[in-house]
Amino acid sequence: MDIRTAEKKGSNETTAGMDRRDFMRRSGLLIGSGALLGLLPPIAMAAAEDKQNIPQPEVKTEFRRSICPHCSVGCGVIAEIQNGVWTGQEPDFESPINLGAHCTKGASVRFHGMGSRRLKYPTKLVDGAWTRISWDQAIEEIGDRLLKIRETSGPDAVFWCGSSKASNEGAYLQRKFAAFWGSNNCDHQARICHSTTVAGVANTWGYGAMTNSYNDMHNCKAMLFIGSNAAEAHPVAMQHVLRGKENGAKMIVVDPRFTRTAAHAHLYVRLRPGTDIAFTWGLLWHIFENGWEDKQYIAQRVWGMDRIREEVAKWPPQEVENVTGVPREKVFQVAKIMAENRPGTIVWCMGGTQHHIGSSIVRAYCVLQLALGNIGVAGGGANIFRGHDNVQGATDVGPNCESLPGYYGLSEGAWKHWCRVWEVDYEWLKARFDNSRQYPTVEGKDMYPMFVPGIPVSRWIDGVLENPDNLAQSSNFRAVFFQGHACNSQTRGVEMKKALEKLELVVISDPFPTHMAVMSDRRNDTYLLPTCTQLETYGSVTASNRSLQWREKLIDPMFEALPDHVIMYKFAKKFGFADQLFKNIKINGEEPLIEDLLREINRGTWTIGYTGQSPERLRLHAQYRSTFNTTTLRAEGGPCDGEYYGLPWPCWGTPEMKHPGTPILYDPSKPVAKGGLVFRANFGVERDGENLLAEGTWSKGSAIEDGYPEFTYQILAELGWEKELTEAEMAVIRKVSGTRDAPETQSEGPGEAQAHSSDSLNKVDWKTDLSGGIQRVVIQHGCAPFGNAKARCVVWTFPDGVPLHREPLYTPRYDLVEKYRTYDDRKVFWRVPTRYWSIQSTDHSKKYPLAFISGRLVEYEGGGAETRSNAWLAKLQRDMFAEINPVDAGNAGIQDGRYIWLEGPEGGRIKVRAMVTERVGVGVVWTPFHFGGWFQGKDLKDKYPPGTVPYVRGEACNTATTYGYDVVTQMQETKATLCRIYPA
Amino acid sequence: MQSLLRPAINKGTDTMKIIRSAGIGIIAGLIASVAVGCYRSPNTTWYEPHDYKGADDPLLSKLEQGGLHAQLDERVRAVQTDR
Amino acid sequence: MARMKFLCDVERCIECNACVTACNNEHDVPWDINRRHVVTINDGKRGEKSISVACMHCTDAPCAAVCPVDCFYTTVDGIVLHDKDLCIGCGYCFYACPFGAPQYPEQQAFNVRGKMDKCTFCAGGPLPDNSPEEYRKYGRNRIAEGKLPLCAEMCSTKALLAGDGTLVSDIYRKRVMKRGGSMDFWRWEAAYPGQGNENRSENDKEK
Repeated sequence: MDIRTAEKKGSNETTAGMDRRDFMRRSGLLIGSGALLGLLPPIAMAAAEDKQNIPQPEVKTEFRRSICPHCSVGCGVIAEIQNGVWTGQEPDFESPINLGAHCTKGASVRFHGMGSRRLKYPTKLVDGAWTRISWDQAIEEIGDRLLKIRETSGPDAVFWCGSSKASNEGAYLQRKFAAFWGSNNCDHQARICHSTTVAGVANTWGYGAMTNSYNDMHNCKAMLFIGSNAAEAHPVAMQHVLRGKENGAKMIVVDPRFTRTAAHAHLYVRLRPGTDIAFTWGLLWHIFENGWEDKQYIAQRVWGMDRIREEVAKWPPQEVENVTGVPREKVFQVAKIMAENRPGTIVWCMGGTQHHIGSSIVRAYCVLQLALGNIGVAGGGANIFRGHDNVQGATDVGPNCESLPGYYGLSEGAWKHWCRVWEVDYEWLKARFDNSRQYPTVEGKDMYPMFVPGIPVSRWIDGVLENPDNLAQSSNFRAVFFQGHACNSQTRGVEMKKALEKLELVVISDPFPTHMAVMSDRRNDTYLLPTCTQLETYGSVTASNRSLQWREKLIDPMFEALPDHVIMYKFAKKFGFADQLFKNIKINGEEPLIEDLLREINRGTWTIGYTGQSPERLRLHAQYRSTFNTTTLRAEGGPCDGEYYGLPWPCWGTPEMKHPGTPILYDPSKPVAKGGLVFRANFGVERDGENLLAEGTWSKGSAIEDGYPEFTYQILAELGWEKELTEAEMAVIRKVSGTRDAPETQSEGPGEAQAHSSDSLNKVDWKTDLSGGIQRVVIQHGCAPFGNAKARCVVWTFPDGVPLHREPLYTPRYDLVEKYRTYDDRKVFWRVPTRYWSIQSTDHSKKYPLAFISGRLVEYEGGGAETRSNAWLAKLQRDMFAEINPVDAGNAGIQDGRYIWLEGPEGGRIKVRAMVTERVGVGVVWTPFHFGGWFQGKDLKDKYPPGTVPYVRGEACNTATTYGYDVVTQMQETKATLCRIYPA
Repeated sequence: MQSLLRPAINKGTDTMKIIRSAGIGIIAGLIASVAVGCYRSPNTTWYEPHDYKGADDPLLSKLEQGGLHAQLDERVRAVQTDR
Repeated sequence: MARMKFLCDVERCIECNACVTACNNEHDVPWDINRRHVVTINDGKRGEKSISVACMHCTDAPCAAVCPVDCFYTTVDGIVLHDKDLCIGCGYCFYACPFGAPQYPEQQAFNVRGKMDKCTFCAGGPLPDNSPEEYRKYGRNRIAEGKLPLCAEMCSTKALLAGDGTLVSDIYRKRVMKRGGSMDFWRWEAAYPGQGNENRSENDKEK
């Protein structure tokens, strides 16, 4: 008898008193403990895992600090180390971000020091058997294979998947490495996480990142969570959310599921999956109808709201109710709460982003906040909670197939900028790429692959399987190299298996074998490279609020594992470009110096202000973290006085300039030098004859009291500010402009040379000036280097300038397709054909009547290889399951706790346990997405290398998910597909 | 049973003189056999309810001194608040 | 001297299980044991609330009252501990405890009872403080080091509080007063009668 059963008796119902965890524990008992514990019988297991790394009272304890490697909140972790062994974990009370708190994942990180279930040494698959090899053999064999593929099919025939779990330095190196290999075919988790946010939000007001911070939520008067389940995905953020609520904020949760976050809300609204735009326009309908919009704010800082009004007029309450399923009174109630309680914030996550119209959905959210005047104020903002610990940093400076570090893009100018930073010859680098021919792009121009986005991680399987005639590159992928990315978080598992089996070479560089190592029937040419976690190395990591934190190395890499950057060094050496790749990076043995990598990031990433966060400053912040206010994140006294914790980007100028970081984006109430900002002028100065620059508003202390464009040397000169540049800064600017490279022209004809030089000097801007002088002078005059403009509600470069609701490709409301149909198919889009209408034109809703969505459990993260191999977490969630409404369960003859089949309309099906609950509405099925190690009903535990079987395995939900990709970023559509269910 | 046995042991050798009833005779026989070598000290713990019978915990004396408690209170104020 | 107490603030508990894992981490308890549980009522429904429960360190502890071998003792500030060398693993305390705190590790085959294990308020057991022997049998002794139970110290939202009962209730009382003054409790209901905290939308009900 325990609490749970007692409670169950009290309620006298069959399932009423049972919660999800009871259910899991009980269902665990049904299948027997032997099966649960993996291969070991319980006794052997207890002996093997019980009481490891025991603290020794007489041994000196050393305290080291890192940052939790799970979600993006950025909780400090304190490790007690004795003789290099991790014997204890203490709360980091001094951290202003977590104040000592952890969620279940953060509280479990010491298990990493146990190392059980880790991949221990390089391993390759030989006729279906995993065989241990040496690192040297691995590098030689893999390297030779890759070089041969490069020689015969070109550099684009390899897909280099990087990671949002790498440090900033590791992720940056992953991008740089792919460039030196000669391809843009690199990507990471952000593609399937917040790529639509980054594109949509950046195109609205400048930067595609969380505008405020978790801590700033103490200041909110209203909080609208839409498609975010912070209580499970960002639990420590809830500390700040609930403090905000206790300060009086109204909390609203809009979600198809009644989540654990919703359980804390004042108001919960159940939304049909994929109808976020309809709902948001529904809110704006009431806001405009009642004149609740912030008219002055819109006039001064927003462009295009009139076009939004026209679209919103098409969404009267009855239409919103019909499309979203939300009763009209509720929509009104939400609008009223948001209007009457300002500043209010909006929080969104994968529920909003993972749609084929994701880049429109996120813009609709932005427009709502702009209409309410909520952006650029404490307590307001678009608080976009990122997923992985360093997905923000990896997005900013890491392996993105459409951009170089710092969102510079892939233009010739961008490449030349980074070549200057890297001090490599642009022509040499260009020669690394496939220059044999140009390929068509989505814009209709033919271009060389160096300037065209690569194939994103959401589409790598099509890069393998698609008919090569349809690809906009030289060849199919013949090899993939996955460094820190779980494949079970990507859709279309059945086709993924086919793709894996077609590949000539698969390399997985990860602390664990991952689902990818076992899901296919490959028998050879598969390599596993043991790669250490971020707790076994050091470097910087960027939390969701743009703060950079410094990690110390807690323990040495386990077994034969190596850090990402060492593995990349080994391959660079093998490929013959190590000298170029690490030109300004000190190498110790085979380890590139992390600090040098960060300094190189500092030297090049001017666009987003990754320039001021030197390793020294970040270490100082870590040391004096207790001096930062837990609401404002501003240091009060101490050596960091006046700076914001972790120097949230943009931290303008050089480290010597001592910019304090920007805690709230676009907040004009502070001078730029003290963390203030305005909207970025990134879309020109006028559109359709209308002024795109800000009108009658500027940041505090600005010398220009109106809108202004982004700063170039020319504008500086026109204002007469160029005289304030130091001689050293001028020298660098001249060098950047290229004039210093051709000094002889001066002697031939001074007049002409001067004209040429001033023209080319004029073009040097705040993004390319490697001295930081332009930024320094501009900020001294109180201006923002990137200009002062309006946010735009209409993104004319996107397929839908004004965000439009379009039904998901697989929709349960097929009757709405006629009115809200999707896009036409695209012949080439990110190098692959991309289907829209050819999928939506078939009605699947008769055979597959239930909407199917997925989400996070608090115990696990991502593909779950790491967390399901952690006994302390695995013991709490032992089975993959699907949440099904009692009505749907009844209709399908399904009983709680039993196995069912969940089948997607493309035929993939998964065998999971039924959890019958009202948490999901009628017509919606939800599953977690962290499970792996099963495939279509079969447990694959025998396919893992010995000793690496995760404690808990289960079906990957994405075996049953379907086609569908965002029309701007190729985000996968997992938050609105279909399924049917039946008893197994 | 135990409470009967203990006085019996204490009086062990005296009872030799009173051999009247068969019952007592049996007991005497048993005790006699104990005396000649089958005796095993019944060093059984005497259980009084609510009377702890285990080993001493050094923490108890530390807590009684009070300094530790003050330290713990300081800790509550420092780490359990929202700061 | 007041007594050591746990208090779980239901308004803050988000059922994240950090307390359970912190306990697993600190004491390295075996796979089949959790000294602490998060209990959720009305899971997935209106009024869903979670609370973290372990040994409540009762003043008149029923476990100690029924223990046939009297292996329980109470520290001067009310932490209920036990001696595993004396414990016979009978499970009688399991009957007596209103919270299901006592646990019995699986030792050989499924469901064979071992010695009882329960939350120690991170105060170890009757062995030298923080000796390897104490760690193996009872886990870490944080109290001896002047630290509070790790479950409370690591709680994600500072819902779970531990320490001297007077101080803990001070912290909690301040929170309750603050919430009382906010819209959450009475003004909200006055402004939007019957509309707060709903989780089933009307259209669900119609269906």
